[in-house]
Amino acid sequence: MTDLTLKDFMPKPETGNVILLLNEIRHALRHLAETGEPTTIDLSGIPMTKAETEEFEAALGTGEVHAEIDAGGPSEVIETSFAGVWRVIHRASEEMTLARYIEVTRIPEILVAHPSDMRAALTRLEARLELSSEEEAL
Amino acid sequence: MTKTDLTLGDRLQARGVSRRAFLKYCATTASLLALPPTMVPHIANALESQRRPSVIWLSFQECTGCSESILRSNTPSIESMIFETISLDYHHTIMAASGHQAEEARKIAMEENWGNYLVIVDGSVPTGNMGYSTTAGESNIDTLKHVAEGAAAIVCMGTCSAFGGIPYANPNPTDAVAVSDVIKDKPIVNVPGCPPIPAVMTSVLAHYLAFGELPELDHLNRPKVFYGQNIHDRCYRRPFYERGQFAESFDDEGAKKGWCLYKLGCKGPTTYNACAVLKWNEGTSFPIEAGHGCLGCSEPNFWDAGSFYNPLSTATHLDAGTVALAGAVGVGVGAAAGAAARSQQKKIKAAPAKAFTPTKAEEESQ
Amino acid sequence: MTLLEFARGPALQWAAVIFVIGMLWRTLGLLLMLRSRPLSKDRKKGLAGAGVKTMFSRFLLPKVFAKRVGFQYLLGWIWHVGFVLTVFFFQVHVMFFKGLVGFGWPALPNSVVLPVAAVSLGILVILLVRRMTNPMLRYISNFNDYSSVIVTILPFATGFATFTHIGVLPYETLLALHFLSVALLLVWFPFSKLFHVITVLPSRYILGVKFWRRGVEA
Ligand code: HEM
Ligand code: SF4
Repeated sequence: MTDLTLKDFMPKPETGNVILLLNEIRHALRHLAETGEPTTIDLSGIPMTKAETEEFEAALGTGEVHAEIDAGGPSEVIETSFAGVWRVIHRASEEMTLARYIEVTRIPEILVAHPSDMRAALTRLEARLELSSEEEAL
Repeated sequence: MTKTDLTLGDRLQARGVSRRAFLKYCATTASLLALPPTMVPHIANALESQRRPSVIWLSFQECTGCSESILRSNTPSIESMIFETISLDYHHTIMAASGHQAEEARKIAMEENWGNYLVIVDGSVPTGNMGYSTTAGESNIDTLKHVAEGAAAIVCMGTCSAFGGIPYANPNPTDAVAVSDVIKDKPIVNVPGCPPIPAVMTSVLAHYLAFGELPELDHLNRPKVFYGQNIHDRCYRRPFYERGQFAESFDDEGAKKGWCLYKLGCKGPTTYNACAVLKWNEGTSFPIEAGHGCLGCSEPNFWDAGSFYNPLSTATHLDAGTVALAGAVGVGVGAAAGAAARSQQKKIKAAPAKAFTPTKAEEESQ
Repeated sequence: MTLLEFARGPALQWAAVIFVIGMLWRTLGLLLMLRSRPLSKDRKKGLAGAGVKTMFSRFLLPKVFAKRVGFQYLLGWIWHVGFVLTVFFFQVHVMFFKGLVGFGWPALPNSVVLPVAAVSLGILVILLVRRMTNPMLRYISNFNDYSSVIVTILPFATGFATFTHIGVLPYETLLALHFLSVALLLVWFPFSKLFHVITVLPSRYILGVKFWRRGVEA
């Protein structure tokens, strides 16, 4: 009790999680390269200070792909400067971040077109073509 | 095909909700519930393959704020997705049917799903004069008892159903109680708040739908993931608290600089909720960010826990009057004791001197 | 009623009532007692002034004993100043008194009060250990001494635990324990050696007058 210093009462300047996280990503990337198995890391469960978050994002950098998705609010998919490592950010609105993930995968699931959507799209497209051929026939 | 037979995927397609939006919903829910990302496909599967489970929403002594909170979340929002996954068969405010038709709908839902439906309650239950709150001539407590009988679980939305809330506050004219005071033999999860955060309400439901069980609860039956930490521990004003920099009024320099609101009565240190993290109105802010201390609305008895504007470090039952009264009594007792001592002393003095005889205690100590 | 509600409410209320009654009771009771008239002739005049002098001369370390009691003197001094600063000039404590009496006073910044409180707590612990290990001190100590030190340590220990949100217990339990430990201190105060706060100066005065009357200039 007596050897508490003033620093013990202040919020910790850093959590030290950046380096741990980067190592975890390294393992996941190696695993992906060797076996093709993807890994997802939920960033909301990993405390980091504002400065650390910035440091983490700077360490990952940005790569070639940057996609914006408009599905139930804006989402963002950013490939980091390390191929196969993606940042996926789900938002309800510009201000409200719902979830932040690191996906170590060839392509994040949220980007690929899904069979059910494709079937619905096909139905719509067919209906459209039928409609326009009917119009032409008129 | 009735609407309950359609799969969730079909229904979402019909509503023009893409698979991506659904996956996003599942990922967000998993993250909110602090579930590992590997659970996302499981949640998606579970929700998708389910027939819409029947949900009966009972409203007792309430203000409809909780319903507003969950329903008005900026549609079409991620939270509103939950209404695609359940069949809300009875809810005063939003059901199309009214009067005895509404009650009929509830009876049918109960009969068809006996033992399996989910009951959501907002509002506290009056136990005084039954006339204080009735629905179709039935007292709230009777409705609760027999609807709960066939329920798989009960979710108390809001502080009133969870802990009694405002109707329960002193002097509690209706003798209101919480749902858990009436129902003892069913799993109950409390989702307190006045109102609760929309995403918290929907995530708790999603957890139940995806896993068939309630999330892990704390000693007050609140889901630990959302109510496991107090506001103070996650508050962005905390560094000011540590340094002892407090706003003294709502418009002084400290307030403008965003200093800690402890002196203005903030109840953040004793309030367990997720406001500081999830925030309100699509993440715009939360009370402390807006400049007002936390009222502690998700805690039992928050209405009676002293003034909202008294710091936590003040006593609730102690005032200068009590101290003055005690002072007067003290003076009286002291004067009496003094007088008694004086007369005793005089008596001793007047008595002829006696030879020293040690008392028992003195003998022993020698 | 939760533990915190009890602590903030009835516990502190009753503790304060007992404290006030107890303090006045004992103070007045002692004050009103008859004093024995001296049987011998005064050797000096102006005894009252001499008594006052003794009241304050004892605050200083007498040179002849410097070696033997210097440590104790120093710690005692720091402790009492630290106690007053912590109790009356810590921000949250000033709020408490403001809530009670309706007005506050300037507080010291946390960066001053917290180290002061830590040092005070440390000193109390050292003094307690010394009392338990030093054979002479041990011989003259009884329950009243130990209990008073421990009852005084508790608010400090729980205060730090509360402020730092030490992880073992939820915050509101720590806060409640802090308030309860304060309540205990308040109840204990008038009826134990802690009452020396009131008696120390008058008894020095009386002692001074007695000494000086006999020609002992101390
Ligand atoms: C003998 C020493 C102490 C006494 C008599 C004392 C007394 C008190 C009292 C009367 C209160 C207000 C109680 C109420 O709300 O009704 C209080 C609150 C508080 N005390 Fe102390 N205290 C002492 C030492 C400390 C120390 C050493 C610390 C830590 C550095 C501390 C930290 C606190 C805190 C943090 C609060 C407010 C609780 C909060 O944050 O909400 N106290 N104390
Ligand atoms: S504003 Fe409230 S919750 Fe935030 S640090 Fe201050 S007391 Fe704690």
